[in-house]
Formats: sequence, C-alpha cells, structure tokens
Amino acid sequence: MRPRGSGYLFVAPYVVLLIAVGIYPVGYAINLALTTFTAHFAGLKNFVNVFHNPEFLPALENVAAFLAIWLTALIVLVVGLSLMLHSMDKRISAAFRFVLYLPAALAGSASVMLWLFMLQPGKSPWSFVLRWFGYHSLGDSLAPAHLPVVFALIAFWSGAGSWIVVMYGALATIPEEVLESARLDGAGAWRTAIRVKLPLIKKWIAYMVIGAFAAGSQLFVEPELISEATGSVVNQTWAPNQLAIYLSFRLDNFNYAAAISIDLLVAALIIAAVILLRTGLFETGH
Amino acid sequence: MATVTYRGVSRIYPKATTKAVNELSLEIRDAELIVLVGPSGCGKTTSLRMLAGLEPVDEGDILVGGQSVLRLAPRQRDIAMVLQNYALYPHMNVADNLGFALQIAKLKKAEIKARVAEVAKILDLEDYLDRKPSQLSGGQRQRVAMGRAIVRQPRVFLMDEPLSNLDAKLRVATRSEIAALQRRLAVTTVYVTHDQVEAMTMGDRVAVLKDGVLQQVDVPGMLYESPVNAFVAGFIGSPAMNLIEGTIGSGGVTIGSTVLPVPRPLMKAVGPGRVTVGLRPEAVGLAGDGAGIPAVVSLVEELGAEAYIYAQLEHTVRGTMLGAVPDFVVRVDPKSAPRVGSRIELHVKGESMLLFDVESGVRITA
Repeated sequence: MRPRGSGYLFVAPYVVLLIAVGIYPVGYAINLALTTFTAHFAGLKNFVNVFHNPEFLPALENVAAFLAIWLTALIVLVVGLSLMLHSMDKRISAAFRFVLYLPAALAGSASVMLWLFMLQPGKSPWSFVLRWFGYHSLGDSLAPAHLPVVFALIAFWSGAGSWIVVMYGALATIPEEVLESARLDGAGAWRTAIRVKLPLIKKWIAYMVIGAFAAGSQLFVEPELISEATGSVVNQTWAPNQLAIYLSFRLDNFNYAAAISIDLLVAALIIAAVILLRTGLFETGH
Repeated sequence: MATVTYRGVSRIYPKATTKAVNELSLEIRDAELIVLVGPSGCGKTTSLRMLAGLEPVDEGDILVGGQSVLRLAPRQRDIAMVLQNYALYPHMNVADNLGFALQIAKLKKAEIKARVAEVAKILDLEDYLDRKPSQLSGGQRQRVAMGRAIVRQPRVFLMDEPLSNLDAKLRVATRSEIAALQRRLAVTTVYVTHDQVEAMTMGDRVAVLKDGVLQQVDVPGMLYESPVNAFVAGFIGSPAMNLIEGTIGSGGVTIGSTVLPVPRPLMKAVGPGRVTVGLRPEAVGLAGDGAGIPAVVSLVEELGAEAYIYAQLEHTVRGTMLGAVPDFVVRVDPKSAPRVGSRIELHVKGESMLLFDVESGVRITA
C-alpha cells in the first residue's frame, strides 16, 4: 500500500468520529440557532434575544471571571511546576508528577463532592482555615463573589496534573545538549528555565491555553452539581452552558440554547485563531 | 590561557562493571591543540565532559592553569565547548546564540555587540546574524557553534567531534580552518574525534585511547612511525597497518611458507616464537622473483596519485591477518596496479617492519 493511502486509513476513524460528534452537531446547532421553533429562518434574532436575556450577560461575566483566574493559575502554576520538576532529580520528579496527577484520575463529579466537603465549615479538615477567613456555613464559603475562585480551584486541582504531564513531556523534548550548552554558557537553573526552556515549550503552552479556554468556557459540571447539592446557594444559570440547558430542557427553547452554544464556539475559535497566529503553533521546525 | 592536567582521572558509570576512563594522566600545554582519538566507547568524550564539568570525576584530579576545577561548576571553569550536533539555541537567531553567554555574564550591550560582530567577521557569519539555526546550512551552524565558544574568550576550548555532521569535502576544509583559527587565537584546545585522519592533520599532539586507557600520546609523525603497541599501529594510518602473525626463526620471521628478513638489531631483541608483524601499506611492494608472499588481488582502489591493492594471502597463510580488514593492503603506483583476481607476490621492505608481542600487543624494539 502506498504511504499516502495508508495515511488516509489511519486518520479515517478519527474523521468519521469528528463528523459524527463534532461537525454534524455543530451544523445542526447552527441550523437551530438561525431558525425559529417553527423551523422558519430567523436570521440573528435568536442571538439578539439571547443577548438581551437578563441571565446571559451575568453568566458570561461569571465564566469570564472563572477563565481569568483559572487560565492565569494554569499557565503560571503548571508551567512553573513543570519547569521546577524538570530541574529536579528524575526519581523525585517522577514521584511528584504521580502525586500531582492523582486528582485527575477522579471523575469530575467526585472532585466537586470532595470540594463541597472541603469547603463546609465544621466538616472540612480545613475548618480552622475557613473560620479564620470568617466562613461559618457553606453559604459563606460559596458566596457569589467566591464562586469563580472556587470553580477555578476545583478545575485546577482536578486538571493541573494532566497538564503538568503534558508540559513535562514537552520539556523532555528539549535536547540534553542544548541544556548542557546553557550550563556551559553560565546559565543557572532559573536563567535556563526562562531563557531556554520556556521559549522552547511556547507551542505547548499555547496548546494548553487553547484547550483550557475551550474546556473552561464550557464550564458546567462544577456549578451544576454545586447548585443541585446546595439548593439555592448557586443559581442554575450561573454559567452560559447551564443557561443553555435551562433554556432547552426547562423552557423548551432549543433555538436560544443553540445560539448560546454557537456564541461559545465562536469565542473559543477566535481565541484559538489569535493564539495560533501569535505563536505559530502549526509551524514545523524551529 | 592555561595548561590542562588530567591526574589519574577515572570515571565509572553507575551500574557499569568497567571504568569508562581508567586512570587517565595527561599534560596539555598552554595553547596546544591536543586531539583525543579512539574507537567508540574508548572514553574520549567522557574525558572531555569531565574537564567541562558535565560529568563527575570518580578518582583523580583535573587542573586548569594549575588549579583543580573539580569543585567548580561548568560555568565557573572558564571553558567553552563545541558539541557534536552544535546544540545551538533553536529559538534564538545567530547574534543571540553568539551573545547568550555574554548576556548571562551581564556584559554591557555595546561590548556584547562589538564582540559578536568581531566573531561574526572572523567566521564569515556577518550576513547571517538575523537568521535562526534552522535557516542555516550544516557548515554555517558549525561556524556559529565555533563562534559561540570563541566569543567568550575562554581559557580552554573543548570540541567534541564538531565536524562529524559535515559532508566529506566541507569536513576537510573546516578542519584546516579550525586548526588555523586555534593557532591564531592560541587557546589551549582539547579536540575529540574518532577519525584518525582528522586527529593526525589537526593535532599538535594526538592521544590515542582504547577501553578507557590512554595508549600513547605523541606528535602525529611519531605515532605513525613509532607506535607503542599493535592497537595504536593498527588504528593510526589510513589504510591501516597490516598486522599478521608470524614465527621468529633463525632466518627471520616466517609468514606461512615465506621467510621475511628481520633487521639485525630487532632480531637480537626478539626471542624465538610467535610475534605480530606490522607492515605499513607503503612498506610492501610487488615482487616477481618467486620469493614474495603469494596473494590474490581482491580489490584495487585508484586514488589518482597512488593506488591501494587489497590482496588475500594464499591458503597457506590465510586466516592469520589480525587487523580489522582481512585483506593485505599494499600501496602501489597506479600505473602498475594489477587487476582484480590476478596472482601477485608481495615483497616486504624489511627495515620498515615492526614487531609486536602476540599476547600483550606491546611493540618489541631493538
């Protein structure tokens, strides 16, 4: 078989899945977003109506706040921790990576339940810390202003380990000779990290930001579960995805929900395009 | 500038049973270009890396300028190194690659710029300062790697097979450039290669290593003329020296059914019994009187000014060749080179014969 033919064969299963659960549903959502519930063309009316929904902009602000905290923490801490682990003794580094990866092995819902317990003054092993901050009930811990931080904490705790593994893998691709050159040139661990390692893993950082933004803008499990578990402490339209679910399954307005989904998709695509252009993620070689 | 001294230096890698470098003692003079040469795994790169501080030293001491450097980090040793694959920073352009060490040393921008410009001029890199390594040819990358070492103005240069990634023609041109540059800069240089031609053409002195042990260190001419053992004799020279087993008798050394005369002083030094006979390709000629060693030509290499015949010795003596190539190599005038398959007789110029102990390989001298 010719190499080109075998290449197509290798990507074929992915392409089938991409069409079935990616491209076709997006097309379906675009169709829904541009039509009325009676299947008549609506132009951008659904988008305008969603924008004027009193719960849409607050939900968007909530997720924006969450993304600002989470992405910043992810970039700074994941990259920082990976650089630190890469400079350590290999066996100690492997042990740390394993420990940091463990939370990622938990299901998302289990992580939320764990954090609900952790944030419950009186039951949490860290109650004294919560009380020191003046939190005496779950309502205090989960005050609206705290929620972006709480969700960022949960997301970071359950997702950072996986990204550290990815980032460490990226660091492992840097040739040992290049790092030895830096040592001979007089660069210590800090300067080697900043001047040599960091620029060489720039593309992986860009990849992480694109992936994390796409995942973060779709935030759903954490606010939904906490909303269910706490009753009225967190409202059911805290995030745009929750609002979409609420509009579709509670109010039976799938067209508005589709418009929200397309809004989120377009935002993620714009961010991805900007990062791709700025970092040359798809360029080959150096 | 500085001298470099290896004083009984050994290195044993974790979980290894033998020493990668075994009690290496070597004095390298100020401004000298010394070449460490040997086959793969002989310990030459390990020796270099220990001097650079990239590899720990298990026994012994290394001195630069008379001072031990074992407790110093690589950056404190004032040593620059050119690595086999250049190890340029792929994200930096040529100017930044050249100036990186100076930036780390916190030199003023104007001085960095001036030194980078000076080195770029020396190495003919002025037109490439804005390019990334991926936009350079192999030869240009090699020059950038050299420039990165030169710009630091270190006490010692270390070069680990810096020409191995270049094509044959560029390698020949670059090795003379490096040797000339080293003499011009007068910086003590330790150069590692597995290519004995490179070693012989570049080194003020050449140190031959095998299995982590220094075999001989001398000027190139002496290594060729007067090797201390059969390994050095076989390793230095291209094509390699013919090494063949023979038996010393009253009339000389017998190879198969042919008796070759041994110079009288050498005959006195060697007792009866088996020896290894060493003959350079130029120490053997073609004979036609029936008194030579019978052989059949298996290959003729015509190089223009000279030709090399690769000949298989006749059945009576075949199987006793000790070198890497089972054929006997003879240098001849290309005009008189015999054809492949023809029967010839080899005539040995006795005064050029070297004898080695069969067991230890040590050269037997008069």
